Amino acid sequence: MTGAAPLLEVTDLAVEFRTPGGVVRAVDGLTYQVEAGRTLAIVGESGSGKSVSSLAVMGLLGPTAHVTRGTARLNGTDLLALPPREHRARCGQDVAMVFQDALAALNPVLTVGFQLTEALRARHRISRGEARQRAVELLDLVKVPHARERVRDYPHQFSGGMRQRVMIACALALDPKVLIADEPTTALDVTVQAQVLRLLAEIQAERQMGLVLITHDLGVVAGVADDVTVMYAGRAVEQAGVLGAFRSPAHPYTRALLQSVPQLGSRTRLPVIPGRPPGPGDRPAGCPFHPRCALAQDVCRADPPPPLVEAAPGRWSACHFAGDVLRGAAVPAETTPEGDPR
Amino acid sequence: MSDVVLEVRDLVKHYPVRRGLILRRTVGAVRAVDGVSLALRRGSTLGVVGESGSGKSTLARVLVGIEEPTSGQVLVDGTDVSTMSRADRRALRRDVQMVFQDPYTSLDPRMSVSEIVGEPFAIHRTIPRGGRDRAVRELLELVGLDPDHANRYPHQFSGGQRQRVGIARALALRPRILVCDEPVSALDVSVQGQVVNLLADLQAELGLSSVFIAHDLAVVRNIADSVAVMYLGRVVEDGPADSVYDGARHPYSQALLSAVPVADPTVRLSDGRGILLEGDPPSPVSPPSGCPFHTRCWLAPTLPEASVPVPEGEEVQARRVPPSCSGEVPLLVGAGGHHAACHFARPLAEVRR
Amino acid sequence: MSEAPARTLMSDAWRSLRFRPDVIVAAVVLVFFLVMAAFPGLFTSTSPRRCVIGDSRLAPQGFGAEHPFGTDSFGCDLLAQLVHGARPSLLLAFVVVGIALVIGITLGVLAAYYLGWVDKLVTRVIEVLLVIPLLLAAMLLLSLFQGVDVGSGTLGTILLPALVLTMFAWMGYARYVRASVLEVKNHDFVTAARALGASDLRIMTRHLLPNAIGPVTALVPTSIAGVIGAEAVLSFLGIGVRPPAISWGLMISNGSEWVTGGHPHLLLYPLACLVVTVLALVVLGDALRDALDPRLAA
Repeated sequence: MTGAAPLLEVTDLAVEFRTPGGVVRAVDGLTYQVEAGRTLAIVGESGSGKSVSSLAVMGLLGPTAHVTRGTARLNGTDLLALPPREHRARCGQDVAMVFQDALAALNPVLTVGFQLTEALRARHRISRGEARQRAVELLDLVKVPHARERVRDYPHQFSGGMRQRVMIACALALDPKVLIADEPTTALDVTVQAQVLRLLAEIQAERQMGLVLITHDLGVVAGVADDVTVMYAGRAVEQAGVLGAFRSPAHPYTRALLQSVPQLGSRTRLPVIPGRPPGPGDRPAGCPFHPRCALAQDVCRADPPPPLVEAAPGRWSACHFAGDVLRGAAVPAETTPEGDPR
Repeated sequence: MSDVVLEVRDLVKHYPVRRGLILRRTVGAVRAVDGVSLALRRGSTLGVVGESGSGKSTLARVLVGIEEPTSGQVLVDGTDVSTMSRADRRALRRDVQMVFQDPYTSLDPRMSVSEIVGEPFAIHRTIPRGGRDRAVRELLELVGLDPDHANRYPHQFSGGQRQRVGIARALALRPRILVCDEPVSALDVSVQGQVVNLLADLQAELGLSSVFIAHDLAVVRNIADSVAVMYLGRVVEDGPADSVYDGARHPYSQALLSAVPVADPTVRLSDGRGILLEGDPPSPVSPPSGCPFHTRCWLAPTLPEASVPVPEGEEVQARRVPPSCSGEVPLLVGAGGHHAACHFARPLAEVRR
Repeated sequence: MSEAPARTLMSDAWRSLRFRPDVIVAAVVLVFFLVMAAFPGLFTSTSPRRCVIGDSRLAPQGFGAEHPFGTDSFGCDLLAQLVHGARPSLLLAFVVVGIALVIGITLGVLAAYYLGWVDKLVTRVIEVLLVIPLLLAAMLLLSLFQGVDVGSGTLGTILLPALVLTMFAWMGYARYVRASVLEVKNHDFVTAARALGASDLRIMTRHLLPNAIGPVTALVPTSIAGVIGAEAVLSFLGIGVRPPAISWGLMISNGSEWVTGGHPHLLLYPLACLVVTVLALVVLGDALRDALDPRLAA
């Protein structure tokens, strides 16, 4: 969170959904920034708003959702204030996105080569030969073997890992400055995941892109991220450098989440967080994490959700007791009755 | 031998691939499971790990009797299922039950929870109509759900709770063996532990034996007593969990363990540490000859045996592996109950450079 | 065991439907026409068969007059015709759609569940029937049944058209059901039922059908309109509802000749009856489907 001027700077973003049951706030006051050559991981469970926030930045929200507050500055321009058409155009150009399900995100009836250069051809007049050449270069870039022949293939002719590479290549077609990857390896096998993550990290380092990696997998975060934003129930609850966040978390949720990750080392009973993450429609009053938190006091239940404050240099936490948590105040992993869903 | 409750021997399950609209010819087969032998000990948990296409889900479906094996035997308590009468097999269904991966599609959205959990009673009539409501309430309580929610519908529950409903349904007929196919992979991390612990508790409480199938090695580590690693329809390594996790001998198991992302930020992916496999698993329609793993094996090309002179007339491959790897199917061999199917199997410590 | 929660769902559905104004209006409209079909005497004392050629094509005279809706081209009272035409029209429509539903759903579920030769047979039969023109088949049947006396009651009047129309009405349902069963059957809950040892019949009736029936219910109201309309076409060939019996379809087809001739009421009254009935069915069908889906019921 230090160093050069941020490429992408999201400030106080709020996104609401209109549902038959009323207005639901999926993202509430999210702030983050990405710098060139750095990777920010946004971590959260289902319903935390991590994907919705990036769709909002990309201008890809559905008709029932809208941004009610906040800015997303890319090199100083607020994307969210742009008219939709310009927003889309900027997004292809300067910010690109990689989705989880490559099979669904690629059009099955168009060749990979066509889809790779679609964005390019829409913006510049280039010849067929040039477009083809560019498509081959892009496939080479993501290390798809036999790129020259494969540009003529259709998405279903690629394996899962190769398809994800094709999608990364699509996203890189216009040389974006920022890449947002939403669970890019969740659908992949673990040996293939390792390849794709390494590829992403290499390309990012080479081009000094800013990378926003949205994931639920703390192992992936630990492996590639520089900074971490932990989201819970639509809010950022902790922001820190990856080493700090993993070594001495400043929010009880981060700590509990890290403890609940199954370890390879030896067989143990898994520590759990009781209850379940709240959906956007049934968030508790007060600090949204208090029903599952081992440290919860009356203030957590009564006061409005605590804001993100700097508990130590570079360590932001949205907890009334951030200081205590950061110092490692002892919390046994299973003090509350486990897994009681009632 | 009576210690083994469930055993498969040389199990093969092929799905024919057909072409043509009118005259459908069989042009090949998906070799989903290709000669698997496994044994489940009473009261223990057998973890089966593998990537997509490894055949682990097909194995589960054969074990619970949804699919008929192409060849090979499934033995329950030492009796070959294929020799049983229809009635006996139906009774057997009660003994071997399944927990499914996706809690969103494995429950009928138009049935209430009490109908779902009570369906096994309706099918097998093990409990008279009047007693079923109470039995359903007991089951819901057993899996940690509020029995007063029995009249709710699946969509009113979260993923973890729905998975508990699925477990309650599987337990209704008091099975002795539970086959869990990726039971937690669709759940949030913070909820996964709850379900894994519930399964472990139920197993101890009810004396169940279980097969736990997953792609997540870390989850399996925390519940399994013994482990089998599958690749392309075959078991490439099996043995006691501690032995396999701490001293994997098959290069595939070693790569798999090394690829699991660990929640430790000092281990960076870009360091180049760990074993990185090339490419994706091959298609089970046309698996490679010899050792199914030889096309992606990181070990084989580094072996001195790989540089044997190429016989005249054959072209020199860019990627060279020992002839035995591409020519012979390795057998599961080993000692102390820990077996690996590799011609050059050895603990990782010796080969790590 | 299965009754108790089912009843709660039904009663939930009833509670959510009771207070919806559109549902109430639709129900009133439908009951009105059903009573008309059952007891035509309640609505008119004029016989639809007492026609005075001299009084033909009178304009509507308003209620209280001798011919409130005017008369048709033969001088018969239009109101009396509408009232007495309700029974054959509605009976025919409900019988045809009802039987076609049963055939279509059964064959659709069977084809999708068993696939193989069952599926091939069903889909081929559907394709063949879709290719044969309705009128050609109707004429064929007409010649087959030429000498057969089917009686003169309401049932007798609609027997032949019902037979022909049913034969050509079930394919749509079968295709819809087949397609949605194919989709539903891949869900794990079907595998789960099989793993529990459920019989094929149980899987089809308890799991596949309730989840696959949705798209079909949307077809029913419009196909009721279709049947009433097609019946009019058949009556031209002499195998529909034959005069002197009356039906809305017959009235619509006769009336359409006089729209441009300055007597639009001959078409508009029967057409309005048909449209209102169908709209009521659409509203009721949609509301019922939503109310019976536990995911949509609050």
